[in-house]
Amino acid sequence: MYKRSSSNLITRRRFIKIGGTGAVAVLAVACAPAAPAAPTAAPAAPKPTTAPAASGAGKPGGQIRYAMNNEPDSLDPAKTAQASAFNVMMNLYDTLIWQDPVDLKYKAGLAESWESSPDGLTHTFKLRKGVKFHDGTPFNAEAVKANFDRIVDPATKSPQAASKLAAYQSTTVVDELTAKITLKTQFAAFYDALSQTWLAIASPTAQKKFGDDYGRNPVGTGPMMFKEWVAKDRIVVVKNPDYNWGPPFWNHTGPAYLDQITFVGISENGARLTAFESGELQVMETVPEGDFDRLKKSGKYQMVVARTPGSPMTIFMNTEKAPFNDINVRKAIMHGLSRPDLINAAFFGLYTPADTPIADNTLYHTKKAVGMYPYDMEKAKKFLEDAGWKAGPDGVRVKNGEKLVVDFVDLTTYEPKVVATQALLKPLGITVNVKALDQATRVAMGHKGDGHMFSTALLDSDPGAIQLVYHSRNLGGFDWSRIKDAELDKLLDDQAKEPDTAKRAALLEQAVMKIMENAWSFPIYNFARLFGVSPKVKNFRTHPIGSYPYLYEVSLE
Amino acid sequence: MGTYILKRLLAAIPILIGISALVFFSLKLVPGDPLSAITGDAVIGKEEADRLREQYGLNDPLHVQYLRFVGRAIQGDLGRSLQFKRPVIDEIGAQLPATLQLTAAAMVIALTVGLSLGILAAIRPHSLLDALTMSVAMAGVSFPSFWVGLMLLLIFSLALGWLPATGTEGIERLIMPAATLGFGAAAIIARLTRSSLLEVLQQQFIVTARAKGLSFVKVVFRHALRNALIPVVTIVGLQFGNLLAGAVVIETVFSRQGIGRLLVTAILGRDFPLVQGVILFVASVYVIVNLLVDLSYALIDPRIRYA
Repeated sequence: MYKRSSSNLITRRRFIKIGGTGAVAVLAVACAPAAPAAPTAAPAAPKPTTAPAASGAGKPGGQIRYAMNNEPDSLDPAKTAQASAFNVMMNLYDTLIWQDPVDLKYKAGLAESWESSPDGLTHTFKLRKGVKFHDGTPFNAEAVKANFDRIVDPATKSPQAASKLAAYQSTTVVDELTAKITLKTQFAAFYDALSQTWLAIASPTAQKKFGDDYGRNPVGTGPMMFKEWVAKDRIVVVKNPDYNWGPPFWNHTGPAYLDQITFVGISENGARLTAFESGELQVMETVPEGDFDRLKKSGKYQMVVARTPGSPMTIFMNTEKAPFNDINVRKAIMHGLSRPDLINAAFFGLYTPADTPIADNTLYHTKKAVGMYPYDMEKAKKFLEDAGWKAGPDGVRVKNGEKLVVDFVDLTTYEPKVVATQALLKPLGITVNVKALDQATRVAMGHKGDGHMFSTALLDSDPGAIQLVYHSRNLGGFDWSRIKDAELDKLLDDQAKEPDTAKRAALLEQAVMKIMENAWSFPIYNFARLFGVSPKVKNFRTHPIGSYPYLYEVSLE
Repeated sequence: MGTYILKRLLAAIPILIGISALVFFSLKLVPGDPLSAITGDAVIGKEEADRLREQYGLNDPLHVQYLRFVGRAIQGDLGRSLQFKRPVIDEIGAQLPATLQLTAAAMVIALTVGLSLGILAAIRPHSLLDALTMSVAMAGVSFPSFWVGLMLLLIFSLALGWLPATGTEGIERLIMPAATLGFGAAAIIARLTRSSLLEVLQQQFIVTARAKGLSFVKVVFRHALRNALIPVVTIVGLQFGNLLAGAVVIETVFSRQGIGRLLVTAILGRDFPLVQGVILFVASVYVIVNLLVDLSYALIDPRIRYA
């Protein structure tokens, strides 16, 4: 769909293949947009891009080796916030309800049915009968209560689950298989939260038995059972032969097809690629974009671009600092930076341009904001002129003797994006300084507002999560544009409590429009996880939250 | 001898305290929030972040945190890893065997290759053999180990498919990392053995030994080599430290278990208790190895005595 503008693709690919390091990729991309391409294509019309439907029955048996780019910290859903942990935990645990990846509706999991009180404060769950944890403990309302009470207990120090249960008051055990959950305040995303593995139900017996070390000895009800964790080497899970309580949208019932899955964390891109290409791995996560293109063209693998829901990859412009304290400059960036060109130059055209702070595959995405900032160099220049930034002698714009120079602070892995931004904004007379740092440092700089541009995507199946990056209560946190707007805060607060879906959609639409009209942030591209999958692996598809694969459905040929 | 060892061990205590203080306070200068160790790549709310900082004691003043650390360390408790939520000592214990295995294998390769190349070069100085072995040694010193590692991966895993690229289990996963790590050390040992041996071979007792009718092999191995080994042993001791440091790179390139990779993960994640623990541990190993090196001089050269 997008025309490729650069001519030295082969060199670039070779470089990345041999080096396998960010530094080399950056060098190559830095050279690539030497001739800044004209805008090549209008952003594609957003299509709802949910996961494909379940397909095909498979043959039971066999095992796979699955590489992630880091090792999980803990397999206790209450105590981790890491994507790699979520990935493994999805196989070990079940949630009360599941979000269907195709129609995005909530379906039965460990709870067979549920009802809410009209005020939205009490929710009664009828639990499935005959479910057992891997250690033989029966699953019941007591287990639900024990898990949720443990999550909100400050002694648990929960980084993610506790924030999903911020509105939680208590659980009442009505009978063996009925749990009534009471909330302190209305919480529109409650069902969504329950469908996320952070709130999966773990064996209370095992939690008591292992105490602080439970995260290394996880026991759930899921299709796979924990076998061993050799630190910095592998996590092995094996089939649960009794499993028969998966969500209705999975491609089969009964136990998983695979006998065993070995998860390994390989942070070095080159090593992960070599292991995948030499056949040691059947699934590889986080394929570097350059290599994705190469592997796809080889025709030897299934290459999967799995879109994540939530917020797209977005550039946040620090509104407290000049020049981005001026809306005209922010608008100039939004008109003057071509998203398709950036995607092509930095990411081999693998992603689609984003339009609004809520990705188009997420609930309550609004079409109203689509196309508000079309690529238009002339318009961008005019905004800069109006703001008083006049062309300087060396091509860099000047105002009151100050040059138009901004710092773009980002993660080393995303550096191609920053370098492409630098090249694409140069014709506008804007100089972008590249600051590529490690995750901990760049996050700290974002929190402090130490820099002009920052970027992140937000992975969440509920769009209300955008409050994490736009609400003023997160100033000093991830509110990297440093927005302090009472009206926006109110819209975000109200939508979080609104039980009526139509009203909630309207509130979120207003919030999105406000963000876009003020040009507070610039959604760049729809984030996706890039997988390399062996051709022997059948039925590989991903979950709507963060695009984790349903390995339950996978079988080997 | 016993008193000497005791003195040296006592002298190590202020060194370790100094290192721990240096590491602790320099870590606080590094930008980045230790909260990253707990939340990883997740985007979380500011209220949650503040709550977690409080719960993990990260808001306490620096000296309070340091004294808490020292107080525990004296009792043998290095604290809990923020990231992996288990005792630092367990984390180190889990990674140690793999690193020891790697360093030992690398050392064997380094000594075998380094000594043989050095001896070969020294007995035929300025010959083609000398030039050849010394250029191999030069390559070993010049090529960075991560590059050598990636090249081996490309050749033996990707192109030929002979050896697995990643992992820890089994001898087949040890060959490439140990060879990569041992290569650099071998080069240094070879160069040093050559120059040291050349010097000794020119001394008069060698001429005497030859004049007595001893075979060349006997002269080199019984008389010359033992005299030439002192500087080599010193460098072997230092190399052991270098190998531990090199393991940081090699374990990452080959995704092996090990102390080195543990340290990288800990630093990148700002997992301060873990960084502290690992560095303190490595420093102790270094101190002990140096002591062993000094003691071994007496074994090689009877003229050296410790009191």
